[in-house]
Amino acid sequence: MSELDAHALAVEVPAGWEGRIFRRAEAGEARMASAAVQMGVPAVAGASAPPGEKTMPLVHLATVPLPHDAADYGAGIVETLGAGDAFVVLKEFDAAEAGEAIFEREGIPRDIDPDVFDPAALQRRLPNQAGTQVFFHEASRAFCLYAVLGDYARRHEVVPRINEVLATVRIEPRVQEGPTD
Amino acid sequence: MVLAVVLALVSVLVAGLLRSHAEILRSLHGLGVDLDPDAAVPTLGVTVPRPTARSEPRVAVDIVGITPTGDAASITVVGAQHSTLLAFLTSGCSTCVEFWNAFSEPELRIPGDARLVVLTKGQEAESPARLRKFMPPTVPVVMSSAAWDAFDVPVAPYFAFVDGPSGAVVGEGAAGSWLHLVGMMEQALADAGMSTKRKGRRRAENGRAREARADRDLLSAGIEPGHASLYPTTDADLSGGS
Repeated sequence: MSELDAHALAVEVPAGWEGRIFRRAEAGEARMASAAVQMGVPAVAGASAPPGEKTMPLVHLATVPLPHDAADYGAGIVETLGAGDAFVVLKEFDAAEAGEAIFEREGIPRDIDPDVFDPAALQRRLPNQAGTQVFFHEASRAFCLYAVLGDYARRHEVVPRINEVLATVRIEPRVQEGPTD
Repeated sequence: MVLAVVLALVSVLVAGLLRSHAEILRSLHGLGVDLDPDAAVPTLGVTVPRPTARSEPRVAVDIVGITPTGDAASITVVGAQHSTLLAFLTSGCSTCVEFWNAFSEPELRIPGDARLVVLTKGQEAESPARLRKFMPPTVPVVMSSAAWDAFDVPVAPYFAFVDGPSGAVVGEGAAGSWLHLVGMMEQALADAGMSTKRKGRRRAENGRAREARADRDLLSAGIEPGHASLYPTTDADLSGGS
């Protein structure tokens, strides 16, 4: 088990899982390597944001390899999930939204009921897969937790493993970060 | 007559050279160096440390650390279904520059269809700002001195090829160029009885790249902006029916 800690978020990643805590580059932000600029692809994981968009931290956790260019909600990852696999994303939104009704729930869910997973609750419907999405606030920060199972039929086996990981997530009050350069 | 004198002089010269050569060889032999190519076992008077063969392969470890952009990442190496090529690079060594450049090539092919991960030392020994100038667009770069320690990295650039399912390091060593490294890896894979096939690494596409590719594909299929198929109005439109 290894601990990831960045952007005032932390999580213990169990053996067999991969994880990353990252923030996409904002348009024009000097987080891209010169080679990446020439190729028009991001050196920072994921695509850079459109002009004017403020980027927020993301946590990706999965029992499969995390490709460098995966989308926020796992496009590029969920396609590779096997029957016993899982993908979890913790996506932060602007703290100003933490008081909005959609983020009314307080605290990250740490004990998800396997039966709340639904094949219809996927950002992108794929055969046998199921997902769940929960919005919440914690430490004056607004988040969406989204989890995907490789196989809905094995939810009672896989969801407890997701809950074990969620039990280790720490969300601290966020200190305003400056540009990387 | 003159020819005989010249021949005699040359003979004396050659004899002198041969004697001198023999004396040099005897002197070197006395120092413990045997230059005889037919010698059964080359001997060296000076003890040079040589790599010692491990009775068992080194077992790899998973990777965890921060990235040069201040993010955090953990990467599964042991127990993975794929092999992993770990490249230990620095932002300062001139030889490393070739590898940083090679790893930025979109069509880079890794023997054994391995996943490539670059490992640098941690923030206490590396400059994130310098590393950001070298970071390949589609290869993860993790800063972890612990990983360098775990693999006993003696020099940079250094490489370790890990078989995912077993977690065993099937090949490791230093290399001076990408081609040199590829040769070493293919040899190590062959020795380990593993496939040396090289697949192209899928080039990452960001949103704009995906959009451009989709546009090209649609145009090549004769679907231009405003095409009726882009605006389905019935279930039959969606299912492609008539």
